[in-house]
Amino acid sequence: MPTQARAIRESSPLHWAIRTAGVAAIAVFAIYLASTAKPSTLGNITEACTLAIAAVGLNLLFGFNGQISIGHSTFAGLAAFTAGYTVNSWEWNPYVSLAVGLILCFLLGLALGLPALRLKGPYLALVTLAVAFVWPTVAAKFLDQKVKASTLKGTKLEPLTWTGLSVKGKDARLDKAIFLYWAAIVILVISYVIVRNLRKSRIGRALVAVRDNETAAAVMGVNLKLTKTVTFGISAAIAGASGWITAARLATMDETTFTILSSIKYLLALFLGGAATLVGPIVGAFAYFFVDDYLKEHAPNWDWLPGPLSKGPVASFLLGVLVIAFVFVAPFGIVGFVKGQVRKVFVIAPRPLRPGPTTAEQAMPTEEPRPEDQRPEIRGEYT
Amino acid sequence: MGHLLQYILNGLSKGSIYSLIALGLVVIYRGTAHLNFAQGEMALFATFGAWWINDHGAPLWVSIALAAVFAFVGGGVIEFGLIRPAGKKSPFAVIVVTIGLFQAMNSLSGLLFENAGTGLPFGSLFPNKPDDFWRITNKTVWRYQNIGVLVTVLVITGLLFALFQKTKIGLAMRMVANNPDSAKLSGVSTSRILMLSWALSAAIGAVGGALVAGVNTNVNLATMFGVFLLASAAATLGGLDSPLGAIVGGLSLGVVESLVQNYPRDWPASNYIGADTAVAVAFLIILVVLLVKPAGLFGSSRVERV
Amino acid sequence: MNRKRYHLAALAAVGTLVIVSCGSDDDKSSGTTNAASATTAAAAETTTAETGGSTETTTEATTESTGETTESAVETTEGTTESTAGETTVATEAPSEAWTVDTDACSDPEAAEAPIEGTLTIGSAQPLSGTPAVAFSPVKDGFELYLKYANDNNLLEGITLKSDIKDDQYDATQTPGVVDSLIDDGVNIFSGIIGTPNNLAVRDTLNQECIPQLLNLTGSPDWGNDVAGYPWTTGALVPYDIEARIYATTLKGLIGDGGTVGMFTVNSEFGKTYLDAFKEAAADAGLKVVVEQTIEPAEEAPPTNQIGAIAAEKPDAIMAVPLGAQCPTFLKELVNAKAANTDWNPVVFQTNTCASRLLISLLAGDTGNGVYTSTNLVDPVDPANADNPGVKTLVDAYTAAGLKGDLATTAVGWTVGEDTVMILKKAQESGTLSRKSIIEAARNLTFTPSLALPGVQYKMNGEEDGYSFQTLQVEQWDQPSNLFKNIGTPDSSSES
Repeated sequence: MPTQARAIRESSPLHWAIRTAGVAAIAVFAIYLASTAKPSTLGNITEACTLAIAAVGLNLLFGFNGQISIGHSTFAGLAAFTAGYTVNSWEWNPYVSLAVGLILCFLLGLALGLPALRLKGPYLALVTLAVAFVWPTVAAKFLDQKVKASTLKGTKLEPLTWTGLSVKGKDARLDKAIFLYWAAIVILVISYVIVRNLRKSRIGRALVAVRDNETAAAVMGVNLKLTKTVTFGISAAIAGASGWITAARLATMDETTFTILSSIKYLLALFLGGAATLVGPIVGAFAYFFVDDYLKEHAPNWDWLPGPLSKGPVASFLLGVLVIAFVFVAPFGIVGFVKGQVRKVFVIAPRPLRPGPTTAEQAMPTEEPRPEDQRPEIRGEYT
Repeated sequence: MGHLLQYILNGLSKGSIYSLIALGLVVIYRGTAHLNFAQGEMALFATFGAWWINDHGAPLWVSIALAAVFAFVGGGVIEFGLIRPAGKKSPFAVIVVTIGLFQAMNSLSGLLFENAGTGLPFGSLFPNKPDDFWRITNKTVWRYQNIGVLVTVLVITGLLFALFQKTKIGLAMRMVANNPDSAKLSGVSTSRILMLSWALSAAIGAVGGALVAGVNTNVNLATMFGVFLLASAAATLGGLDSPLGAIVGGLSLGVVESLVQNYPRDWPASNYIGADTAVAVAFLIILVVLLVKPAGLFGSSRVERV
Repeated sequence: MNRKRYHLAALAAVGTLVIVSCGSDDDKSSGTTNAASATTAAAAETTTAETGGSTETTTEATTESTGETTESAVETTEGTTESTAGETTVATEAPSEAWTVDTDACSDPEAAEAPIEGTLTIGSAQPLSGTPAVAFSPVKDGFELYLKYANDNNLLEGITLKSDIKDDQYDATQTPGVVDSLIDDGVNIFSGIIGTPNNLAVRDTLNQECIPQLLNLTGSPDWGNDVAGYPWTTGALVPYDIEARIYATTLKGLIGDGGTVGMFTVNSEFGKTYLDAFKEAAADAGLKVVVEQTIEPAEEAPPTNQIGAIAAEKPDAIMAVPLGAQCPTFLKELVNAKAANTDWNPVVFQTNTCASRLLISLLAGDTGNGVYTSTNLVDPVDPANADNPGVKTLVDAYTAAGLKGDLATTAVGWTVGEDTVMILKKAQESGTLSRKSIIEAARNLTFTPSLALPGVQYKMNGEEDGYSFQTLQVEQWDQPSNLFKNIGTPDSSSES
């Protein structure tokens, strides 16, 4: 008989201690990195964060609400192009362009959510795929007509003055990287908190109910239309935030910056980390990014691969195989796997709604019998 | 617009290719209710295999037939070894496995066949010399190659139809698609039928890939990507569980694409309707159709028990 | 996916051509005089008073910090005085027209002017993995081969050359990350970054940090038309618009005044640059563009509709700018269209990015026979060139290193390496080897690469001539002999 896992009450002091320790560790690590890492490392982490933000948004829609979307790259692209165009051609403040981008993505998400109501599983997947396929055409037309150039410039986000980071001079490159790094982390944290609060609330339960059995959820009073379309909108807005950071990070963008392949990356990152978990998309995004980076850097140098093989797409082959292997080894992603292992040590016991009975007398309420004239009338014979 | 007939014929040629790949998608969806994201890349791998066999001396049609046979076996093995176990793990597992396969098979083709990135020459099953065409009118010409592809697609569809409607195996496939549990109760080996769906689809894909490579006169790593996307759009339009839908969807998508590509420059809105937006316009039309018929033109909607 | 691959193949082909065209015979003489000019610029100021053009350049360089204001005015006057007075003043006086870069706008002026000693590391971002790698890895091989040759023969006194070429998978969203990590690793200069969007993605950063971005392996006109705005960036290939103009001129000679042309271009910036430049040049030459058709960059299928539309107009010639594998598909489709329209036999011009043997012969079969294209490098595969000293050096080094990649593409990398080393050499001769002196050397240099066709030179001159190579030799592919035949002499009409 395996030893019983220790049960820790939810919201008990020990639980809080574990949570704060985790958050503190991450915060300390983030600060450590900001003060010691090179600009290119910070840039890599920023890029991993943009993947994480998009995965968090996708998780809200797919993991918690069951609506598959292979088209989230469109929202990222829309927000990125909005930012790039308004900042460069209309001289807008980049943060204003973020707000506008979020609103536009939310509206587009709502607009896509409406027809999505009528489409089931694979049809929805293919329609979102088609949307992602069409985005480069739209982007190319836009570049051709409105920008009259082949690339759109990025927002060239500069550190805000109150941060004390330099805009010009020797440290400008490092400081800009630090600023973007923090901007990405802040947006990631905000997205995580939004999704977490949604999930833990009544709305979250409605989302999951819709995912598990739509008809039953409708019967129980969930407004399907509202739930599904608004979720699409919020998910799209979060993906849009990811696009805004990309526009801040890159100096140029064109119609190939956001393609179906980006959408597939979001999906894979989500799956690798664990869909329908809160931390899963973030863990998965970082894992995907750094494994991909490692393979790209080192696979060409692997001498044990025969000749022409090493020049071929080794990294992408291994990534594909890795994803397939993951389905069997860790079908609920890294977070699912880790949770399974952790459960052997301790379990978070959910807080009961009210204290339960502890003795037999408490379980059986004793009352005065009702007076004669208030007892129910006995009609007929009982045999 | 004297060339309208020519544009329509060109569209039918392209569309017949979309139909064939869409047919593969439909066979799998009908049989197993899964979407095979790797359909195009599996077909690509089989096409490279056909190239290799052809490069080593076998005549083209033999190479393609052999590749189809290997694809048949491979498809069954993939279903049994990867897809079915994945399906038992978690609901998203299958689509993720197919996405992983999409990436892995494409890269595998790149690894095994040198110069796959730039392209390997691929011949055509049909006479394809410059003067191999049928002159219909002064301005309209239909190449034997394109006629051949269309006929092949129709023949394969006909064979599939005969399989589904007239044979015991076809009946079993329809039973499993309709109600797997009662099919099992009736003694049908669902395992074999599921494998058969994937095997059949892979073989169809192999032939489709070879036809595409013949039309393009080369095969490279990017050959099937666009075709797959358009084929999946065609399957969506026609209904994911309807072979007839795949054909109608594919052909009409091809014709619409061709017509939009040749939209006259002096007509209104030619800024937005033209060669560069052909696919976008086609997809827009599909979206509109789906709004009216969410399961596609010929697809069937399932009634769910709560 | 597809798009990148094709674009790469295209670039490889172009690169080979460009590199070939760069060499000239008298590079030693022009090289040394230029070096002399650069060092004695200050002294020459007073003596250049007579030659108005030269004076203007020097005063400009010294008084204007950014040198932006009277650029255009100076250029036009300079143009005439330079050619006549340039050589003579150079010989007698210190160079007065040497362009200099202002380091005040740099984020770290000290680092830009700091002397480089011992080892000089050259960084680059190229597609090394994934599908484009096969087409482009010989470029890296050729480049590193030349660096080894330079190190072995001590071409740069006291400096050992190192290369650090990292993979960006031809993805312009990855290039900034790659370049950032190379800057962090301490590379001194960049050379031979592949891809127009890739170079555009890092141009701002490199100009801000004042790190030379030399010899971009793309033919975009962007690398030479804004020297004041982006002084630290230079290109290696003949710009596409010049190529288009040269074709229009040659075409005029073939089909006469009033001849009709059909255009078939890929719908990307690459194709659009060609289209606009060719239309302009055709109008000047008296040719009429009667039909324009485009193909999407990712399109794999043969362009049946497009060629059909062109055939309907029956133009005397076709100018085709497809991408990568679209080149042979276009040629085959054209042959089919000619069979359906038996009274039509147009002259066919193709962009030189389609001119690799793979695209014009192997994949196209016989259909490439008679197609016109261009080059500026000697073909190392042609047995007639076996005795060319540049070819011999390349082939010896190639066989000694046991390389197996395409020789013509390796020659591209080799020539970029050679160009880079010549620039470094000139910078060394100025007294200090620093990033500032390197970019100044790059922009004040004339020399002939060893694999260049006669008449082709690397020639840059500050703001007046922002392009390294502008001469192309028109050639025609002859399928039976498996060789390109030169048509006329190299066209230097666009040399500035």
